[in-house]
Amino acid sequence: MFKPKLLVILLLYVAIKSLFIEFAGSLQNGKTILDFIDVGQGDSIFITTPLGRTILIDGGPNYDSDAFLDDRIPFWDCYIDYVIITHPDADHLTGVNRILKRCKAGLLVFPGIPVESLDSDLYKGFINSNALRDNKISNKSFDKVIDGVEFHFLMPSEFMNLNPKNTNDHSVFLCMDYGGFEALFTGDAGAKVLKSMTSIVKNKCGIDEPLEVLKIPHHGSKYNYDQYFTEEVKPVVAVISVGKNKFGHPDPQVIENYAKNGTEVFRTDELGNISIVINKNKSFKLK
Amino acid sequence: MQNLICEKLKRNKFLILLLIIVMVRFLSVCTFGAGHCGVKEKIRYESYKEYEKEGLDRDRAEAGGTSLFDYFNFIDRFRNSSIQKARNFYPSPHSELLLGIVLGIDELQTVPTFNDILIATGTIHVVVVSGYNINLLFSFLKSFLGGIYSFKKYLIAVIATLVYSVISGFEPPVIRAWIMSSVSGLGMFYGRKLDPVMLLLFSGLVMIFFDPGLLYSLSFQLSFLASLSLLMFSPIVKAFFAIISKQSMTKSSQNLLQEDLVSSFSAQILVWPVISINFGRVSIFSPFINSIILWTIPVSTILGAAFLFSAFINYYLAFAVSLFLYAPLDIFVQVLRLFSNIPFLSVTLKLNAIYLIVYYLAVFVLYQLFKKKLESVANLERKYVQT
Repeated sequence: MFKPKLLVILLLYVAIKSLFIEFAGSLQNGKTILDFIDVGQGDSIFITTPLGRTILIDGGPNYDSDAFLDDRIPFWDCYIDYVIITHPDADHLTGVNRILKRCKAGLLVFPGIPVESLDSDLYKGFINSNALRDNKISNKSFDKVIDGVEFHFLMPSEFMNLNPKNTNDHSVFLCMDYGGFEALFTGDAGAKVLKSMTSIVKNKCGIDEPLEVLKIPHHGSKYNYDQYFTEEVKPVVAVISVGKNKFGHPDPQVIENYAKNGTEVFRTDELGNISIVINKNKSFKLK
Repeated sequence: MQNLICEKLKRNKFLILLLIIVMVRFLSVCTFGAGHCGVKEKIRYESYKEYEKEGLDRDRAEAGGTSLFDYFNFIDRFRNSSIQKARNFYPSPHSELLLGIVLGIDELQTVPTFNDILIATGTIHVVVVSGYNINLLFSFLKSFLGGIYSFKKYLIAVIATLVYSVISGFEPPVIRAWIMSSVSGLGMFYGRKLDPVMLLLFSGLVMIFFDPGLLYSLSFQLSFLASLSLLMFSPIVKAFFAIISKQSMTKSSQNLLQEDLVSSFSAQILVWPVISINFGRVSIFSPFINSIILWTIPVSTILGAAFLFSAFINYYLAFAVSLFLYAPLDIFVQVLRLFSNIPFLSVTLKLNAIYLIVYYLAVFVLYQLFKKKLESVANLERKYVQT
């Protein structure tokens, strides 16, 4: 059965697929891509910069995000430049844990919650295993320009006092600016945090005009909606990452409020993977 | 007619005796006794629910569900470290596919999208360890040892396959295949050829004798029916396909794709009602999709075993093997993803028990009535094509 011919064909397949992935990356031609991966009830967002650097925000409640990455990164040399865990809940952390078993991360970003204050074994194991593996880790706010795209990593706990037990409120904010196109990723941040972060986000990211893309916090829950925040940033497009759940996410009232504000809302449970391709001149396309 | 039945009864004395014993045991355990038949799967389901609540990425002590050998700690450790090794090298649906095919580790709940694709395309049976693996290992050992015509070699083959079945979780399909292959090996040792249908019935009866609750187990039902269906209908389906394609029988048997199509179709004849009654939906294109991807399974089974083996020895060796293994796994995944976009892939159809019984009775009666005729048609076809 195992003739040399078959083995050669198998190797050829791997080579062609890897080439195809590399080729697709070089075809990107100065575009930044935001992928909202459909992982069911959870979050996972993959950002590719114009020169092919990658950022992963959360990994969802299962391993579906890993399946998605396989079509973007060759399996035998998996490297992600930045991996962000917005906060240590199972529906954000599980997929990241899986991906880091086979992939290397340039820098791991996670919120400034003291590990001792949590009784989540998942999180403790995660921090310990990655600290042991000499991954670079950070839980402080910082700014970074990658391939001409400005990124601002913001920790809410540095700007206000937060209850360490309420992990959602510690969610890492990521703000992206590519030639005037801004996107804001909010993790599962609560309404109060959104309100107090409004001015900080506006200053740091320079949002004077409407915000182009907003990741709606906490799968569109009604406890994570803030009128002031929405009116101030005026999102054009908002994405809810949501699947089947018993919590009633997303709340219809929240969607209606965003719509009243002139925001178009897209949901991963209706559309599957949502891909936003951003050109240099600020124009963007939704797939 | 009466004589015919008498003769049949006489010829299969042993099997009928066994049937009576098993029936007595089944009734005493499941109906009159304190029986807990059919409870097993419920427990498994509930523990799965709990597991889901606690989060998916916990090290699993109960990898592979409840089996006889759960307390064999080292097997669990072996299975767990295999899971880690596969995940260190491969992305997700690939690693779960590999573990399922080679070691029968069911981790599909960690990749729900892929799981849905498997159900919709009617290919989920591929990702559980099957009797096929035992046959593969048995024939591998046979060629490795140079035939099993000495008792020592036969014993080695039987014990090696038993060890493999324990490692792969001792699931019903594996036990069935193990009993069948070791009994037929024994027959070969004594220079006798055994009727495969009788062999299948024998192994089924032995299994129910040891655990009457198995009769309620879905994997037992499916495995048993699929094998029976293959043995009964594959010659007929093959002849049928040969007539359609107007190809010679010898040529068609060389055609791998058509061979797979024949086996996928003939297995479905007895299996689809059970699928329908349990899942409430039937996949229409299942035989076609199966025949397209079936060739990747033996390739990935053998390469997967080599990969896991080398992963325990050396990282770089495992890396080299992993490059070859990726292709069949990825082809399987990508082809199924492609097919999952077809509309009307599966229809919602839930049979009730009466229709099920009527269907099976009809199939068996028709088979008995037309058996001779169909066989002669198949023979005729063969002759006609040859001349």
